[in-house]
Amino acid sequence: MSRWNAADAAHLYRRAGFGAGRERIERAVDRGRETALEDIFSRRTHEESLVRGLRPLLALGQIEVLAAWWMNVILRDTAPLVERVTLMWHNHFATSNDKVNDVRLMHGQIQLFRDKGLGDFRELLHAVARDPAMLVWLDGNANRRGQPNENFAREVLELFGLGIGNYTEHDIKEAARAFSGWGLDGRAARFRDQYFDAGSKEIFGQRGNFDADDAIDLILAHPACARHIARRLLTEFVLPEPTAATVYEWARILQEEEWNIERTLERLLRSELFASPAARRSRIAGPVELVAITVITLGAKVPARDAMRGAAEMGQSLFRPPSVKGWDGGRTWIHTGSWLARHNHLTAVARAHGERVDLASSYGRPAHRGQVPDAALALLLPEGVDPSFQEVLARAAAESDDLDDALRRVTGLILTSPEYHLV
Amino acid sequence: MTVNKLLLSTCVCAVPVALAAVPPTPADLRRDVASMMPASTLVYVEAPGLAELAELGLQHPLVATLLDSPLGDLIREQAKMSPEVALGMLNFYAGRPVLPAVAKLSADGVALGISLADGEPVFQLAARGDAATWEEVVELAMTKVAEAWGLPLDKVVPPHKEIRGVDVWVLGDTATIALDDGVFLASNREDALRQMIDLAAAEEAAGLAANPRFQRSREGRGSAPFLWSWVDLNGVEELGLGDGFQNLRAMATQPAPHFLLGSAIASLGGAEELTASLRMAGDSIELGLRGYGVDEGAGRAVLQPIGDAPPPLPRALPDEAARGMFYRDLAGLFRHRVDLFPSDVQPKFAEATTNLALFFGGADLSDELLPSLSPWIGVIARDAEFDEGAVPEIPLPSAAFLVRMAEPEVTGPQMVTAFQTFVSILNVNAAQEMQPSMMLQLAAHEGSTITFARFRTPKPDEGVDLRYNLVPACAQVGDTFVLGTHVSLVKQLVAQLSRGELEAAGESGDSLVLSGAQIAQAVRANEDALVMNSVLNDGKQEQRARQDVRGLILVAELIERLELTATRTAEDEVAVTLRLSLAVSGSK
Repeated sequence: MSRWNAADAAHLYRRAGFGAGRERIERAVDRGRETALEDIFSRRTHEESLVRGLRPLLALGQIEVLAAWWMNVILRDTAPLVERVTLMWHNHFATSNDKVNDVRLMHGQIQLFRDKGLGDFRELLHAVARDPAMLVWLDGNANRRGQPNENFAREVLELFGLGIGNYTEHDIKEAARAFSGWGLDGRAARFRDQYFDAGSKEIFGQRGNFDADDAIDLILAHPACARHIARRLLTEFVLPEPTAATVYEWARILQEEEWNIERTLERLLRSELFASPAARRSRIAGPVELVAITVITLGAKVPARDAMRGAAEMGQSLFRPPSVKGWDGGRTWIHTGSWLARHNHLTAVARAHGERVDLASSYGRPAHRGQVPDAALALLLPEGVDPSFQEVLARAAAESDDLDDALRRVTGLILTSPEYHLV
Repeated sequence: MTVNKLLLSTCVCAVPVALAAVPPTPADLRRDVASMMPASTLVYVEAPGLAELAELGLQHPLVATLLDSPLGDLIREQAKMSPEVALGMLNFYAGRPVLPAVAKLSADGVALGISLADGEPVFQLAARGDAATWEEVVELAMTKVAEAWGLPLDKVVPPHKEIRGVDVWVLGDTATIALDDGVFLASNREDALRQMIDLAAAEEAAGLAANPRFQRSREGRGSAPFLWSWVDLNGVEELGLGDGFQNLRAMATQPAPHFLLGSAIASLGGAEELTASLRMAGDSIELGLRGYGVDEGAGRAVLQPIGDAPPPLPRALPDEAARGMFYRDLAGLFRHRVDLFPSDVQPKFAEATTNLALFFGGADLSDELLPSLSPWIGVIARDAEFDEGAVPEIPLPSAAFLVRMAEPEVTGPQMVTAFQTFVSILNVNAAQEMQPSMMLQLAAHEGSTITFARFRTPKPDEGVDLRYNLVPACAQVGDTFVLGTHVSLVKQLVAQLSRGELEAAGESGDSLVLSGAQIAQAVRANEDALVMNSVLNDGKQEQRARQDVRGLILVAELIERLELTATRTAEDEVAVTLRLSLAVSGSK
């Protein structure tokens, strides 16, 4: 763990946030890993004007506007870890406006992830169970005594809390009864006693007059729950396919940290595992993170709406996950259509040199065309690349018309290389 | 040596030959600048008010009003210098006071003409002013040219040749200029310059000034504007200006633009000649467009002559954002639909007639309903009065339409039925999408019944969405039907109509009046939304976006009143006038 260089710093910023520009990386290298971690964990607030400007936008009732606003928050990079965790929970508790059809409810849910996402997971899960958007999305508002709707109960067991194989159909039916009675009053969640099934229920072999909070507590007490959440943290922040032993170890740490996500992440990001070669460039970047990392790393001035639409074309529309399972991620991010969209979007960023991005400044002002490949690789792929690819870059720089042309060509080649799409 | 220098040297050397070939014939150039432009001129621009503007400079009433306003402060802030300093710098670089010189140079007229030769545009400039000042300026300019190109002064500064006794300078293949007794001529082609000199030497007024179509247009320009331009639209077509120009031309013969924009505006593109004028007074700016030789083709069928004057509208109130009166002969559109629209569109008319009959209690749209509605449609926009707890976070002005009915006892109830049916259908659609529906209600007001629909009042902390701007309402007052986006406005209008608080709606033609103060207020109320929208869409920094929005507010505040009128002034003439009255009282 003594090694600490630009590649290590870039790895940390890519995973714990959405990348970093040259100056931040250089500062991190100079001042050490702990300072970089402090930088990541301490930046937690959003610009006041951004928050103030949201209120009237919500009144428009357009989810595209809210998605652009969120993308803007991500691109401003003032609270990288908060937004990274918020995006993770958006995928974990995947809720789509296609059904909810209410921008304020969707914003309320994302704000919940923003406020509680780094805190005690137990609190978060309790809050999600009575989140108005979730009540609409998984029909909690239609779950009534004598007419149970099992949608939320099924997903909270299968996707949100435990994972398949850790519960029975009976558990689902009984949990659904425990979740009954909640509904919406306007845009607020309300418990309506007359719709609550007050009878005795049996969940995970335990019997009692359970309500929603009791059911959530039983889920949290189930040994599979900590493993399920630990796996989510590992796949999001470290590596896509952690071993069972690793999952068990980090489930233990999660509970040791009293389910506090921030403290668990602090340990995770300091771990040998995080720094190991197996973790480096091991995940295929999701569209939102790919777009955000590119913009932030290059210091590009891409309008948030364009960035948001770019990610949507690549297959990730914020507030519109394809199902309650969220985005499958991993290799499913890449197919012929999405690769073309990635190629087009990133090439457009490279071509925008001189307008929306100053690539020379991004790379520390290379003096001539010949310096461009190394300067660009140092920022975009500091782990290094295959010599044959270096050769391709050198040739592209040599054949370019001038320095600006070299910057565009080399950047385009790097951004569209397979290596760049691994984070 | 550059190409330009080479050409200049060649031209300078050729001067004696040219002088020998053309016997000097003194030209009387003291005449109208338009007469020095060839008859083939396609675009003509003159600036009769330039001399006055230059003479008064920053003391010009309009300039002074602008500079004395908050907008002037913003301009100073953005430019990081005062206009006085900027002018001082300009004078320093020019080596003399610039504005007085411009006033002297253009004292007797200045004009630019564009024509076509060998498929390329030819630019011709003519100006008349103080002879001594012109000589100084030309000498100074030629000295600068010589210095810039590194040529001897004595080869460049003296006239390079004479044409009909007029001193001529030839600057390579880029420009030729002529100067004679305060008359300055210039062109990008020497043959065109020679043509101007010939025209100037003609005994009678000639050239473009002798063109009867130009003469007629010029007579219509009225008292001398600051800027006046004339375009031969048929001729300009030869320039191949692309689809945009062709679409503009086509508008005149298409019914849709006639109904969206009104016949006067839609017909502009179909005119043979188009003129534009700009007038500036102490507190107003007026932009006028006139089309001559208008031919709407098939569109004429729907342009029923405007017979009656527009009916009066409820009197304007201080918080009024806009009012307008538009002439749209919808009955004519339906009546002539077979002539006006292609055959594939006809079934849609039949479909629309059937579907709309459902709204109007079975009444036939083309035979019963539309003929009973007056073609005059009044529009009024004012601030809405929102209920407590239902003030939208993005508040918008409300708008209402007013239309007279020939048979109010029949048509009025049909219109109310259509309103109620429409709201019901909206509610069904909203219910299918799990969105809130509107509740239909009736209210008695000033002897009339108002039908309106509203969403339930939002609960505290629930947020008041954009849709709360909509409390649609309708009412019938005598023979007038009122349809509005907010019940509060409809109530106001019903009260005014009932009490006879009316005022004339303007001249015979389309008219629209906007209040800058009310627009500024609407923009200010939504400043944060506009700023954030700009940040998200354009990628602007928040500070820059806010600066832009505040600039927009200042501009709107400076405009006390914006009036647009569009009328047919003769059988084949239309006039569109945009008048901005500045809020002098709003200045500092």
